[in-house]
Amino acid sequence: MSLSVSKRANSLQFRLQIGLTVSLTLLMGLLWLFGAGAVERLTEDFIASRLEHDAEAVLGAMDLGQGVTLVSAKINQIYHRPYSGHYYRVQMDNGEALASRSLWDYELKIPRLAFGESGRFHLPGPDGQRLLVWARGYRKQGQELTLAVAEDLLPLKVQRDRFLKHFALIALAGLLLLLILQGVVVRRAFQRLKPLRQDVQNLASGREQLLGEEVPTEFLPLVSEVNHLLHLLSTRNQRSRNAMGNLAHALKGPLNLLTRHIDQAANRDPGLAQAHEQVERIRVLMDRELRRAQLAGGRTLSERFDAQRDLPDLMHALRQIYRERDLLIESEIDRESNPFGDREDLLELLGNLLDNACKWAHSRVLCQVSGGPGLKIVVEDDGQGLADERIETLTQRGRRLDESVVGHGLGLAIVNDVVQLYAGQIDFGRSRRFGGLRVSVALNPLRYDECSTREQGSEDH
Amino acid sequence: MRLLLVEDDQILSDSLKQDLEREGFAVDQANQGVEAEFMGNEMNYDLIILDLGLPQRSGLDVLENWRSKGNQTPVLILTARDAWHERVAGFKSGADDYLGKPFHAEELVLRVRALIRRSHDMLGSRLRAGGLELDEETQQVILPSQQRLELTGTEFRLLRCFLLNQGKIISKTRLTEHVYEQDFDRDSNLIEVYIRRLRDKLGKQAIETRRGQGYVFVGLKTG
Repeated sequence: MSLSVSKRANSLQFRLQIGLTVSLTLLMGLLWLFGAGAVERLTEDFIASRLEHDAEAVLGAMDLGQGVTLVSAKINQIYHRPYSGHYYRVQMDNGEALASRSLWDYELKIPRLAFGESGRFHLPGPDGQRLLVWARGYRKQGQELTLAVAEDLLPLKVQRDRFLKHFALIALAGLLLLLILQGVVVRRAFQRLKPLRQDVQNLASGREQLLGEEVPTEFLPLVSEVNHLLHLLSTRNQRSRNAMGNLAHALKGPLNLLTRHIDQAANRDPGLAQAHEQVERIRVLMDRELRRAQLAGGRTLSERFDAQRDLPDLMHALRQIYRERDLLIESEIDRESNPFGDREDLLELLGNLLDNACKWAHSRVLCQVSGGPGLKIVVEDDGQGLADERIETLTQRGRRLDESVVGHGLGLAIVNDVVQLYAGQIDFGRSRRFGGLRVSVALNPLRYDECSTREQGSEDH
Repeated sequence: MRLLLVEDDQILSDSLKQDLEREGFAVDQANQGVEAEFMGNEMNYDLIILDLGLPQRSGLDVLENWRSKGNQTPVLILTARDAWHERVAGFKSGADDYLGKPFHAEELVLRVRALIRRSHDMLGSRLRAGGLELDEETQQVILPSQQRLELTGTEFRLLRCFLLNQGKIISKTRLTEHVYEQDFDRDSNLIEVYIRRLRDKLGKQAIETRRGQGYVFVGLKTG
């Protein structure tokens, strides 16, 4: 749960959406507030100026000859319809008052204003109306009076509220639309990263050696950096592999002479058996470590093992080596098998397995290679195979092959190294078809984290 | 049997030469690629032992050049680089056998013998033809009666050459080439002397003389 939340919080799209939502909400809110205020002010100003005009009309129609009278015809009819929402009231300083007919019996309470004074207020009106009142102090025919004209704001308020509601709805819809649009844009932008992801996967499975640089500009520096690093790693790896190889190869010459010398002298001096044994040990150790150092495990930009191409070559080599024995050495390759792993690693693995099979076989050796997510190899022969209890020992976890199988020495040790390097599994059994040993190996595509632990793990040898 | 030994480590090369000569092979040495390629093409060797790490031209290139020119001399690769991918490359370039360093001299000798037999279409692990068998370890010839006869070094070399080429005419020059070192005086009549000795041991009819052409080993009359 918390993982998914933190994962979501880390998502670029999520962050962009949050940013857009917050900024747009702020913008819309401000617009809404400002718009609402502006609309209110504008309508009130407009109404007030109309009220002012109406006030002048009322004043013109007013006659103060005998009390306060009014020539109704001069005034808009709306002031005569009861509760029409348009009202006026004249308040004489001497106490007399005149109100529009529309006010009916409602008394609009207006303050007294001195001559020339004017004001605008909100007052409650009849029938629950809310009135905007404009009033001014006048002097007519020598008498001072206050004239107030009022209009009901409720219909306008309703209209304004409707406008604001629509505004809010449109703003919300706009926000949603923008979010969706942004989502699409972002997703399309990330779609362009899909080839990069594919590249990285290919890199991990060893189909590709560098990342393609056909990526959005923002990612190019990252990709170039990764490529640079890959290149660096590969060169460094290659260099140390070469150095190791050169040293071991250079040592083989003198060792060969030493072997020869001891071989010759051993005939005369049996005491040299010890020396012979030690030289043999050096040879085996060197061979083992050299081969181990040469295992790449697909870490480098090395060539991939392609069964269709490499297996026939290996078969040819084995048939040459065992030509005297007249063995039938065959291979079956699943067409689906993709290039996998490091060519040298896989040839070392297959070479040793098949060499072993050839050594023990009477007449037949069969090698089957099939693809899948990794690589599956089955090698069978018609030799006498291993005793059942031996097979059981071999299948035990953590058992070192070179320690446990007499006569299956160095070759199987290196096989084990390769299998471990590819986080694979090796199983021994009896071949049902031929009756001899059946070795099956399943290798997994390599991942980088496994590489690093593997490297640490091999320190202790 | 004349071999070309291509190895750039002079000490190793010299000691191998000794081993091989003890087995009755005539050995020529080369210690760099270009020279080796030339010698392999010029001389009719029975076998070439080829190191891969050579100065001037790599062993694999030399081998590929030989094969592309149709030189089918059997080649045994002798190298410190014996990982499987290297072996595969070696065989792909046309090698007939592959021996990793360090090795025991006996192993090399066994492989050389086997390869020579193979290149003369002789099946099995024994050198047998025309009713005779040659024991390469003891350098004795075994007659159909299972009687063993001792042979001198030169007799052994000659007989091996004959057994491997039963029914084929071998010129005197070729015999000389295959039996002696390069600096041997080729006009000498020693070959005739040794042929006579062999005839004494095996019976006159075993080796026929073809005037002007050379000798043919026809084998013992059986039955």
